[in-house]
Amino acid sequence: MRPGLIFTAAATAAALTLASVQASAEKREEDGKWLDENDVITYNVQKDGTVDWFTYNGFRRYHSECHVCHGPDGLGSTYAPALADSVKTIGYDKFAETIMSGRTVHKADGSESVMPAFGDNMNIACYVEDIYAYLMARASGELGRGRPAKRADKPDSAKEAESACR
Amino acid sequence: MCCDTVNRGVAYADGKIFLHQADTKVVALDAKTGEEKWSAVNGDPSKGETNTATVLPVKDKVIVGISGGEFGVRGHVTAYNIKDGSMAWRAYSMGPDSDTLIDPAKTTHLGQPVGKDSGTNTWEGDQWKIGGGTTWGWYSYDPEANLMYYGSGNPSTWNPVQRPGDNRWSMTIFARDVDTGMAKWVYQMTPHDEWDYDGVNEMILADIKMKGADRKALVHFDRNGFAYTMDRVSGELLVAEKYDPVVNWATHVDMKTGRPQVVSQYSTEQNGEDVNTKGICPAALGTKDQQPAFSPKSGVFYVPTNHVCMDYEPFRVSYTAGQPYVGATLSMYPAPGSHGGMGNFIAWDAVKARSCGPSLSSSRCGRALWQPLAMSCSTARWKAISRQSMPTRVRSCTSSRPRRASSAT
Repeated sequence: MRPGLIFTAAATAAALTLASVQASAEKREEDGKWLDENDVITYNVQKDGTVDWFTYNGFRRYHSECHVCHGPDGLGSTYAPALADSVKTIGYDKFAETIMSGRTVHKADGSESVMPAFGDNMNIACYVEDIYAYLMARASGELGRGRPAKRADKPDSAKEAESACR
Repeated sequence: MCCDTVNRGVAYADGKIFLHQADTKVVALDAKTGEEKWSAVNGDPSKGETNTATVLPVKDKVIVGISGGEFGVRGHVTAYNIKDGSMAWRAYSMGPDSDTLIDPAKTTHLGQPVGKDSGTNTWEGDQWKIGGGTTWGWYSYDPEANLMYYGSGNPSTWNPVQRPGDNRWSMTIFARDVDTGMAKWVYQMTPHDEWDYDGVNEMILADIKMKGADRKALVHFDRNGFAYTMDRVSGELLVAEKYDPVVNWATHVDMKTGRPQVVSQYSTEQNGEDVNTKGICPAALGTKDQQPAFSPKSGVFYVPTNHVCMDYEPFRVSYTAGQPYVGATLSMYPAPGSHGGMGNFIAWDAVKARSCGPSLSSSRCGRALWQPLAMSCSTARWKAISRQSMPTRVRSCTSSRPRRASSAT
């Protein structure tokens, strides 16, 4: 468990706001992929609206696989949380673990909320980073709803990873 | 489940009600008591195999289809014996001849024998095993010819780059012997689909006059925007013409080969993966969805059409049993540069291959036929649609049944 989790909600939000400012200040590009100061994937939106390849692919993968439960544009639905909010707090590791292994939440009223495991669905498992980058872009407010208008070219590394994903 | 939680109804025969459930269980119920007489399992939902179609009882059999084209399901039709629910035959849309029930020497495509293993030799590798061509639409039967007719759906995946070849026999009209399931003829309307134009729409069996001769015809308004008139006994292609003027993905159908002539600008295959091909008409939902009607009295088909276009971007996907296997993102919108509406209502002459407008004066498409339709629309609605100026004088209306065509079937 990370120390951050013991903060109060307000303190966490404040700390994260600070962290995200720092992250955007310190993020860097490696072969078309944007990484934050902790080497975790993040997004990049240029002034003319051009998004990096991974954020763009995340938009496509999200709407192919996640949209049916989690709603359009990461906005959530009546029975699944808004992931554009969730990624503000859970961090990449927890995000990836939840996708790969699933999660069951026992609610106060006795009902259960179940996120299935998608570790064996290559259309998700191979693109967890991409989906995360897309949702972080949505969470930041820098990327609006719908299809990103422009995207950066597809890096060779992404082509190779895609071919290797079976 | 694929695709949407719909069921297109039950059917009655031999004192039984036949129900094909979403989980692919086929059930025969006693029509009077509701008691279950037998049941059969037609597919495996854990692989994405589901059912949305209705069933067709014919003679001593009940014929059912399968859904799941977006889950890599290999489509088939299956006949169960009405008496006890045992399987009489199953015919796949693709695969070896023993699976497709296609006779290499006797089954024809536009008059020519299809040859050996036509259901695998236009596929790369084993892609045909997850090849789609599901059978979620409507079936027709001609008792004289003893043939049943239906169309197969899209090839899997929607990303055409991942499945080179014609992908036979997806997007195909089948004529099968009801007793044996053997295919008498096939016709593939959209070889190597790049737009998700499922070929499942209704096969309307109509006896019409062509060039003075009586023809036992099959008329089919396909999702790809072309209306086909075929000789339903021989499988000869008689007419293939656009029935909405905005259809742009192909210029025309070559009547010798039966192949649509694809326009490069709208080819999602030629533009390639990760490229958003814009302005394709029609959209994936097709130029028509359901409910056309034929009036033997007027000799005209009445068709509610879709007037919707799309952007289509294919991308690479991996197959996991039971998981969506789509491989494209789409945006759909009303046809640009038109009246802004999502559809039209047309009267179609399946011999002359044209829409009939109020000002046309041919005997089939005369004023008299259209007058009642105009009257059945509210004044406001009629004024609104009268402002449209469409090239082929296709007109739209909220009402779909002209009073004088009350014999429409």
